Amino acid sequence: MIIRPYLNILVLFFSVVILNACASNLINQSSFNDSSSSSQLSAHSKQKVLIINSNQSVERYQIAESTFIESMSDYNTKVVNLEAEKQPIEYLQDVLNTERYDLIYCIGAKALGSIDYIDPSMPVVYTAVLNWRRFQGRNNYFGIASELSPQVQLTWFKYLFPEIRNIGVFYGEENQTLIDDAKKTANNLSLKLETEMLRSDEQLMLSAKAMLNDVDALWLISDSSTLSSIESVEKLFNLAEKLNVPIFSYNSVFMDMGATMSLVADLPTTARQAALLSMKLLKNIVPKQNIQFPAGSRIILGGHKIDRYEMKLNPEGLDSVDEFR
Amino acid sequence: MRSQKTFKYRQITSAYFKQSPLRLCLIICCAFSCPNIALLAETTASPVIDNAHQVSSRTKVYFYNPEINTARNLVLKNAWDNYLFQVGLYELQPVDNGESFTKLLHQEEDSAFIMAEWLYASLISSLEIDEQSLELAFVGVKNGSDTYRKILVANKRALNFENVTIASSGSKERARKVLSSIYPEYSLQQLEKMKVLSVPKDIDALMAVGYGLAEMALTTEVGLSKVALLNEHLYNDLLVLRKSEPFKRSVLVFKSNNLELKAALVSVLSNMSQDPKGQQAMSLLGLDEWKSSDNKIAKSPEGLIHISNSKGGQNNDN
Repeated sequence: MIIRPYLNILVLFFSVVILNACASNLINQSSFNDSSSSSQLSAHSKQKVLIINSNQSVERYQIAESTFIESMSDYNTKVVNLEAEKQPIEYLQDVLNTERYDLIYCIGAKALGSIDYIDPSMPVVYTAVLNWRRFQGRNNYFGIASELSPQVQLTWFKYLFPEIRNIGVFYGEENQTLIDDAKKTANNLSLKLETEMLRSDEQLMLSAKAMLNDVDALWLISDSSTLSSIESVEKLFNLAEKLNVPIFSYNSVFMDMGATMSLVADLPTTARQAALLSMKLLKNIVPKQNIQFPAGSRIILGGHKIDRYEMKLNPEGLDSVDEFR
Repeated sequence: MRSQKTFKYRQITSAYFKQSPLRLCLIICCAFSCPNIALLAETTASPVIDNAHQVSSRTKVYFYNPEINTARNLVLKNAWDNYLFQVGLYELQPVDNGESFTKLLHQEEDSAFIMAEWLYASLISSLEIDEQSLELAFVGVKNGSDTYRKILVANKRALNFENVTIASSGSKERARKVLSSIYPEYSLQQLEKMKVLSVPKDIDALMAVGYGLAEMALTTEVGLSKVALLNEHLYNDLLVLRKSEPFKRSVLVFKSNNLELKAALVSVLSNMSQDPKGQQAMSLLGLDEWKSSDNKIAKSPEGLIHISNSKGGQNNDN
């Protein structure tokens, strides 16, 4: 009778030992399988990335999605398309409730806006969002800006048109930091940046003539004060053409309005950057800044405008040009 | 009754297509190609088709270089065709990927091919293409040199290979190959750990390092010298870690037994650097001119055959 409890404890002890041995054997087997299949896969195979595409029918979103998936081939990725989704927030909430993800990649504003509403606990990476500045101070939100950095844009201006010295730019209060950085770069490039802060919508056209008479080129930046209405932008382009001042812009849509050059972010590079950023975040490496500027550029030149304004294009720079219009 | 018939018909057709997907494919192909056949039959006397025939009979100069962004293919085609159209029945045909390019090298006759020299050498050495069928005619020249070196440049504050991102123009695979050639002491596993960010241009790679988007750049000496001229501050932050052995620039290869065609093409290509449109087309490839290889046809085409028309092409009379 006295021996029986001891026997029970002994049986329990052996059971635990046997279970432990089985468990460790299973763990060993599992890690062996992982390492034999792929060295990368073992570490990442369980990490899941949810890709939310605002609209798969949009070509630039398609490029972002396919390039990101290609770059993240060692991870489990799942794509959801919000194209026809009338209640994207509810839909995404269901997706997130059904399965656990380690990171979310949002393509476009609809995807990011919907996720922002849910505010999930995992890191969110985003691209192709024009109002990316709204998210730059947000914890756990990391993105690639839609435009090339002012430093890169100014360097390309100088490289492609070495005779241009004075560049004018209008900006609103939101872009004060950007303009301060741009001034330093301009100085390093021996360029003179003529800047004017806009405090009202009317100020653009009131100041435009004086500015355009004083500069070799006008630099159009992504700025809500400068681009407050299509009419004022059209008036600005017309005046610039009349005064033979070329306009350099950050988006290809301005080529149709009469810009001489557009420096645009290269979409596949932007998606590759998002993938690299995601890989770092999945390894718990948090970048110092929440926003990166695009590393790849696409250069569009208006050949007729260059001829019309008799601008000297650096022949060495031709091997960097992506498009003539 | 009618519904029964329809059901039976559906069953038969579905079984028919299940048995042979090839049949279904054939029917779809026929459906699409029939109108084209009809169009061709109608147009023997049409001047529009004569023009189309001319276009299709243009001698093609195929182009593929994994180090040049395929997004530039359109601008390259436009600039090259601007020159080629004025000198004869030739056209540039850029190719998007290596697989299609290799297939074209196998299949096409009476054509020319422009590619990176290392690609040509690797295709020959891997026996993917028959060396005997190809004739190396020209090597590209820039600033008097037919070679270039790749260099690994780092930001002076990021000299450790741990967790670095290396920005590089061209494909990731090519970047890793170059890295392994300049760092033979590193194992493949160590090189695999380096993150490579493919960017469209050499200057993009350097600016990525200069403006804090990457820690290192795999670029060219020419690219670095451009940055040195542009922005001394940026250049002063950069440090060249290693240089590759010299690589030959792009090559132009003929695949044809037609001596007349080759001689005409030699004349057209040799004259590119003398013509403004030709110069622009060459500049877009990052070259100044073509240098004839040690091949006798590229050196003295006139000595081989009599060139009847300086405009060249297969149909010189047009």
